[in-house]
Amino acid sequence: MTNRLPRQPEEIIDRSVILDFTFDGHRYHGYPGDTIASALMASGVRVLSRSYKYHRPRGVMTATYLDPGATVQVGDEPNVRGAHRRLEAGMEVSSQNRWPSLNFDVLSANDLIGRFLTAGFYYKTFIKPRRLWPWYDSVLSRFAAGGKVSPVTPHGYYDKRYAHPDVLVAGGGPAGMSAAIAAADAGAAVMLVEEEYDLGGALRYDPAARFVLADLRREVGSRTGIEVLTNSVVTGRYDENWVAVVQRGLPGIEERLIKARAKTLVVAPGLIERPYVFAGNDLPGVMLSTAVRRLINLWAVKPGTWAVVMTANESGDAAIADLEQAEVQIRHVADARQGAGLTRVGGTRRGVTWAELTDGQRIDCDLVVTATGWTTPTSLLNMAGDRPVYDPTSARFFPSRLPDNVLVTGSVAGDGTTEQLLAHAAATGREAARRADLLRRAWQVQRPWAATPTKADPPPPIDIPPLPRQPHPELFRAATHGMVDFNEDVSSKDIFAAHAEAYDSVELVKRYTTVTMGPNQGKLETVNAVAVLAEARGEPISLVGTTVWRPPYAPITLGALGGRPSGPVRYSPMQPWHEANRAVPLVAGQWIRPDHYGDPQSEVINVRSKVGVIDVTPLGKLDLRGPDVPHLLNLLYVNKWSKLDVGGVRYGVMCAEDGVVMDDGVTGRLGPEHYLMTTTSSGAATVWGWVENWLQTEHPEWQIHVTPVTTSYASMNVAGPLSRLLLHRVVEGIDLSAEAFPYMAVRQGKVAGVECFMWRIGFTGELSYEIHVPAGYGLHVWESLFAAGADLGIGAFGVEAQRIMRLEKGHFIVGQDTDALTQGFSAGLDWLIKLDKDDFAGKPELTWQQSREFVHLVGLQPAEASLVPAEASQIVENGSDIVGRITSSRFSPTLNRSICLAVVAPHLAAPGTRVTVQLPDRTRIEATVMEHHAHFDPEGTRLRG
Amino acid sequence: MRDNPAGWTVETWYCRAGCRRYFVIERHTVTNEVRGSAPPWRQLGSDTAMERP
Repeated sequence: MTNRLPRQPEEIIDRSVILDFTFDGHRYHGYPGDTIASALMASGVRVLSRSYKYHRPRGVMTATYLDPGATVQVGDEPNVRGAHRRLEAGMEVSSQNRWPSLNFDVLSANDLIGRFLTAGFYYKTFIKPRRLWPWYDSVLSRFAAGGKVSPVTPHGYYDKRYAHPDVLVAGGGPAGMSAAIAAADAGAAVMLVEEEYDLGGALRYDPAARFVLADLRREVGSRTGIEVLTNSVVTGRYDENWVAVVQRGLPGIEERLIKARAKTLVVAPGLIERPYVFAGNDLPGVMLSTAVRRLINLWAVKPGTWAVVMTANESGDAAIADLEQAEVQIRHVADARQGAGLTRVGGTRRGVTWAELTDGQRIDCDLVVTATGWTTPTSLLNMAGDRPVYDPTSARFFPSRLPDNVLVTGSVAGDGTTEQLLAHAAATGREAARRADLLRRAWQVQRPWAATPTKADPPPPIDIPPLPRQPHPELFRAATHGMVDFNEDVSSKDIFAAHAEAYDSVELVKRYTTVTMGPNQGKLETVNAVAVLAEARGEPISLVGTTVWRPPYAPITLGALGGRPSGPVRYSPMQPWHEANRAVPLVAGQWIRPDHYGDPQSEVINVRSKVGVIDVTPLGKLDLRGPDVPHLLNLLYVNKWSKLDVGGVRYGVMCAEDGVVMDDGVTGRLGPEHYLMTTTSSGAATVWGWVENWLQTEHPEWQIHVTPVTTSYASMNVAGPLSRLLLHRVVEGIDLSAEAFPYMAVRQGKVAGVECFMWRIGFTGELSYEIHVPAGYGLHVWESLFAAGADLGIGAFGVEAQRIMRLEKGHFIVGQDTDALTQGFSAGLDWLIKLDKDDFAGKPELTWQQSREFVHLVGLQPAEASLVPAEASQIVENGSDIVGRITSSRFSPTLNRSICLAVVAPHLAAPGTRVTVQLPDRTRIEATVMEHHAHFDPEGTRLRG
Repeated sequence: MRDNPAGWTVETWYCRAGCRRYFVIERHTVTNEVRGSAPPWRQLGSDTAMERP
């Protein structure tokens, strides 16, 4: 069966190419230019989906992006707007919200019990008893809307772009095109954004407008000052006209977010046809007049065989003409301007079969068309601060008060003949260009050094002729109840019920019934919802008000918000060696580091028994110079720094002013007024900003100069009992003996012929030297170490081995073992925090914390030595009370058992306490709180050796 | 506690991606208009502004 009409004059399909695709496993075909929905309708498919709550059968209703009946799954992509997405060869389309099949859906029993599933049903029914919540959850998730997200879907490429148009026109209909042309002719750089695939708006499916449209398209196309973006949509307007544009359908790009800073924004989206509320208004075969016109004129699809039309405007009248031309039999026309109308329609699960009129007549039909009015899409105006005002004479909302950099034109602004609308749009475009020019002039005054020639006098304001408003009957609901929100299955009865339960404000009704909260976010349903509530309240619409439209206007993928997958990437100078030695990469912020070289456990054993070396170049490094550096260190670290001698190194922890652990690292004194501060790799930028903040805002009198030198040095840590022996072979000018170069000291000399400084510290707990050389010599020094240490068994180790060893030693990692609430004493820093210092960042909070009970970071060992509890496993007691969690866990090859760091409640912190750990699979294990954080060598004899 | 006026308010800003300077500026919380700027140790519009090096 085919519903494809003979060639239509304005059709946009290419009949010379046939595209095969499947829908729920059945094979169909369509043409390039078809949407998924138009191709299915042309093939005789009426039911495209099931609705969200009641699983009612749904078909094409608007034939636009907003069509609530045409949401489908395409391959592994869920929630595709089937009445917008263009058909492609080989598409595997499936319907959503049906189980087990579209025609026989078990959950449509919901529909039968729908009178119980009214507004607030879930709130009232599934609240008690609380112990059944998990069961409710598992049952209700069956009913949840949407397609299936595949966990293995490959991530495509998403893009971002920045643009600075003078004038951005939202909407590529006749008004938008006319405004763009006029603005470009006035010298503005224009960006014209259209949601559909072609410019033209409503003229595209109006055969009578053929020549006007062709002229406008030619005029737009001939102007280099207009950048046209189709299949794109303005999705948000923020302060100072930062305008978000979603651009779709680019080759090789899943979606692009354009961040446009427009000097002026022209809003010309046209109007959205509004459905009529009556019983059965969501049956397949009930359509809007504009849907019928699109199907016939754009895709040559015959929307039905026997039609009943309810019309209150020219769009309905034009639809009747289109239907007659397409040889659809018009069984009845109910002219609402004469008081006629629909009462209800009925049918089967395959669609509508009859319509009942207000005079009681019942007419058999398979197509019901309504043309009962318009919704003004005022989203962008709301985002610009406008509160649109309802005009009962025209039965729609109009803008009221806009900032200077936002203008409106087209049907949003008013009605009139095509000539009047085009003249209004042209004047608006000229005025938009003029205001953009004024802004440019103002900026030039502020930036005289960046001057471009300015024309002598600013042009005078453009007179924009007002548009008339055409009267339209107020038609919202018939005498019966029907769907208001087709996405969310909210009926007018639900809104009455909500009102009866005292939810009488539109914002409350919205949240109680979820009306306007579905994927369309009110674009089809807001006005009807307000009108039904006004009816329930017995008040005019203007007193009810509307909900406020907020961004985004159109859906935007998380991928586009995230932007390009490839941010800036940093590698250390030793990266070629890592790659040659098959390092497994670890993404650590901007840095790509070796996680391990194949076997982290062996790397640990090699460090503990011989010698290893790790690339620690990403460590943040700040060069501090000046006489006042000790003041700064005393202020920012919780411990004391006044007595650090030249050649000394000290560990420090920084807390924020709320006492929460912010960063840690060592700082060494290289000269009388010269220090090097190291920070965690991820905290480098934050600490720099923190240091600058204190110096600039609180202590500008201190003489300190700060230079970030993270990437100026290549850094490597040589660790293990043989590390001193190895360095003897490559170091000149430094006495490496334990007496001359003790633990926590810094020395300067040469390594492999390169100037360096090195300090003796030990994150791994072994005798170890951290060597810093100018970055350009990093690879040379690294390779020299390996050449010199081959017979000692030198091996590289990566971040994973280092994490195991630091856990063996009980050293916490900021952000891993601490979180945004971990104050200093909770991290076990009693030994470090010096509350007797005059002042330091975080002191008041830490003083307060010390006087209270607080959670503790503790070492923890599971009773079962081979079992490594997953990080973030919870520590529980008394059944299900959460009293802590595992923050780090690893298997220690040194101790041959699993080891952990954990945060526990105060009463569990004493050494020897037995605790219960709940694993992610809900099994429970026993574990013991240890005396020290360190599981291995708590006295530190190895690293001091 | 700071006031939260619908009007002019004094804020400290940080030019994180640029010159790395902290500075004090007045911002109108309704229009987002900004005016004036000063080094951070000088309070805008305050008679008790301290002179610092």
